[in-house]
Amino acid sequence: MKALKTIVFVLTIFTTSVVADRILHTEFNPGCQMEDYCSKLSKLTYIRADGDNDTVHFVLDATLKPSLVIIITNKDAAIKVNYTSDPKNSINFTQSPLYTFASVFNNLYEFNDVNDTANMKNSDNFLKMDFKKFNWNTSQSINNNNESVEIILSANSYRGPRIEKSGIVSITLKVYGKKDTGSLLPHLVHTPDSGELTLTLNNLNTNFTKSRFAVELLTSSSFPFNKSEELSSNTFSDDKLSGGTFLNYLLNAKGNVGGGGFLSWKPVVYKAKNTHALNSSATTQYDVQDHPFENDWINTPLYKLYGNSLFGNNSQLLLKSISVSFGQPNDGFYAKSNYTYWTFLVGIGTPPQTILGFLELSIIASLLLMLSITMILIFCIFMRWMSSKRNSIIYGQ
Amino acid sequence: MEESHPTSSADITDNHERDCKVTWTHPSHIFQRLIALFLMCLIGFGSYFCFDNPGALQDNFIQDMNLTTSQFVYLYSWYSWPNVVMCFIGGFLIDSVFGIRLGTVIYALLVVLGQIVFAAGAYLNALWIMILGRLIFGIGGESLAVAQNNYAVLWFKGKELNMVFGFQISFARVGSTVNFVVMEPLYRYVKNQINVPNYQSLSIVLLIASLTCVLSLVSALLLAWQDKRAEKLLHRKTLEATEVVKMSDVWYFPKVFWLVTFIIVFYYTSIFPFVALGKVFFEKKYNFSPDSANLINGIIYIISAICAPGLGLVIDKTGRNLFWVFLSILGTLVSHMFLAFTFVNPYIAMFTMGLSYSMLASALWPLIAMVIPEHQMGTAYGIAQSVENLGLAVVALLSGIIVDSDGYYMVELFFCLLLSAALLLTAILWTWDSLSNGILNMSIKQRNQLESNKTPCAEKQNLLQNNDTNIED
Repeated sequence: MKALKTIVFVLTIFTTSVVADRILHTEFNPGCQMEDYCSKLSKLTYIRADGDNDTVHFVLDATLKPSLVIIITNKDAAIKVNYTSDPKNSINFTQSPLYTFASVFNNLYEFNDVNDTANMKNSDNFLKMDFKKFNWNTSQSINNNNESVEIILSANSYRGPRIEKSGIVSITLKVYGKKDTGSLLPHLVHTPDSGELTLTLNNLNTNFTKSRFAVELLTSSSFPFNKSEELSSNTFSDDKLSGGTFLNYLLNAKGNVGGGGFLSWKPVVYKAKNTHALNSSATTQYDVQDHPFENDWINTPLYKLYGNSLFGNNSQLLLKSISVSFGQPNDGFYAKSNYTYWTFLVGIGTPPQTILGFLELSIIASLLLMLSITMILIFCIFMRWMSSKRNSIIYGQ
Repeated sequence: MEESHPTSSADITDNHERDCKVTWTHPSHIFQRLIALFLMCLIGFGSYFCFDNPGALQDNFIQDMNLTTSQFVYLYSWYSWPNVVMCFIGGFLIDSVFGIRLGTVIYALLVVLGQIVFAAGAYLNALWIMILGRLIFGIGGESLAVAQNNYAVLWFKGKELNMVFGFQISFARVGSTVNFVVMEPLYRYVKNQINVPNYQSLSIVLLIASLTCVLSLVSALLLAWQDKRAEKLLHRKTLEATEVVKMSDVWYFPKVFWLVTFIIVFYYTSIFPFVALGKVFFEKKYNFSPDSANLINGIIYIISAICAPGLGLVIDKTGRNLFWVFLSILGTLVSHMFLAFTFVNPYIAMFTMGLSYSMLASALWPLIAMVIPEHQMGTAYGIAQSVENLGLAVVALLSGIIVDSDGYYMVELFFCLLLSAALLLTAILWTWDSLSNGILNMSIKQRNQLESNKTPCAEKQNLLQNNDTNIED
């Protein structure tokens, strides 16, 4: 049965990565009859992306820790949410999911980068802020003719003990029905099987003189890609989209047959609303670690999906964490701009590849054409030279 | 190769008596000529040092003054724009109005003034004042180069002229290189020592850099004095310019000349604008620290400073200019392709580019002398330099815009495109040459044979050469 499920899933992923377009439907607290009642219990945005053969469900939950769960099911499966005070197993699907991948904003760190190394491990002091203690509001939802959906979660206060934070922390999810590139730098290439998440830290007051921020993300991957998760990086030459960034990081959940869910990002943050290459700074990535801690997972929508089977030795899920800190040496720390904007992609299937643009293609083509003509001319000159040599030998000229 | 000087505005006649004893104080003694050579090199040092000040401090300029890359590139394009015409006018004014000595001093003064205005612009955080400074600096700088070449012709024609040009190129590159090595640490030092806003520490650094221009000015004055003395003692008389740069001459130039000019334009536009943007490129793509990014960016100039005279000698011995030109452009194209498409250690690409660049300078510029009659040489070199400046200004502007909107990959592709155009033009030129008399790609032996068939020209011999023969005797 498991093997059959794997084959179905791999085929699904393969076909979806070729036939890309999907139709999007967005709903806030899906299936809720009494909005006032539901919204007290749940801040759940649901995006359904229907393809020809299957459906990808995006569940963005800001009830506790802001999380994006991506679930792939057969085409007709529908979500059913039970709005009760007990979150356990409150989210179900009419047909069992083929694969689930989730990304959770777990903690926000502020650290004092005394030596300006931009590495969290070298800090002498840090603050840990649980993302669930921000007062999240789902403030906006933009839907452009079912082609793209944008949802913004924003918070302007933090309820944690002994930590006073003013300023705005926001998380934006963008889901697109077609393969394309993001409108803002670093212009990540997205597919309908992926969501683009952006974390913005705007005007936060800092507790240290040399404050930088870092985020701890949790990921979970279900069967069949729950064997391992690895962070890899690859360089690329074409920075047309990424504006002076030549590196890409990929955190990929793997099974026996390759990759399932992934996080993908360019090591770049922007320090102003205008995400121009000149306003950029870098990110630092840390090791992927096991994260079996119930206290964290219980505050995520995965608990609503899996209940207690999320934890323990029998868990079918691969539970990991990774941290990313923002800034690079000599960039003046967070306080210089009071603004940080970081974008990453969460998705399932094959991570999207950059598309070679028409302009690049035509330049390379004309380059090759000119080189070919050059080579022909040089060949002719060489032949002429050879024949004149031969003549001079034969006729002694 | 003899004719490879960019200007030949003055013919020299000399009434010096051959049999007098030549001591080291005498202007025709080798010692005096060495001093003159040293001063000539110093004249160019300041302007070359300061020319690449913005390149060496690119990210500091951009951050401290809140510039975009395209605004930053103005600092280079406004240097180049006026020189689209100033190459004519500067040379013409030396010939007809100022004379070589006064002209040099005036242009050196303009360079100092331009750099000071540039620094003042940084102090006031006003981009337009900085651009004005670069404009004045450019007018002075490029005409100073013309004047420098005139001096070289005046003192060395018929003797060590090629070597002197080689030395001048080397010294100019030394100026650029020292700039790339020194400016970043100097900026950091000033920033740590003096507590003023960043753009004001930038201005202080630029003011310190202007001292090199003052040094050039002093050299110009000393050389003027030495030249005046030489003129008096040698009873040298410079004939009034008989070859006034005339615009109408342009229409009678052969097509080959224009091919060479366009090769020059396509080639140099893929080098200088690249160096101007290179620092941040190396920082971003290869994760270099600012210091090592400057070092690798300046490596073209370092190699050129070391190798230019030597490679010039290779061409002197082998001839075959078109072959060397083709090889140099191919080498540069391959280097740019490595930088565009791969992550291979960029030192390899930059080293190749540096060698190719040095080789090309020695092989390409003399081609003009081979296709243009001597009396039009000044016009020809003036036109070539002007068109090159036009190309540099346009490409500098374009490449800034491309980096801002489409990143470094596109700008590298653009440079590759320019170079393959240069390569194609070279192939066309070579084809034309092999179909006609083949003069451009002759070996030295063939060239000597051709020369020996011509009657020697008496005007080519001048007194300095004769004196040397006497000394050696």
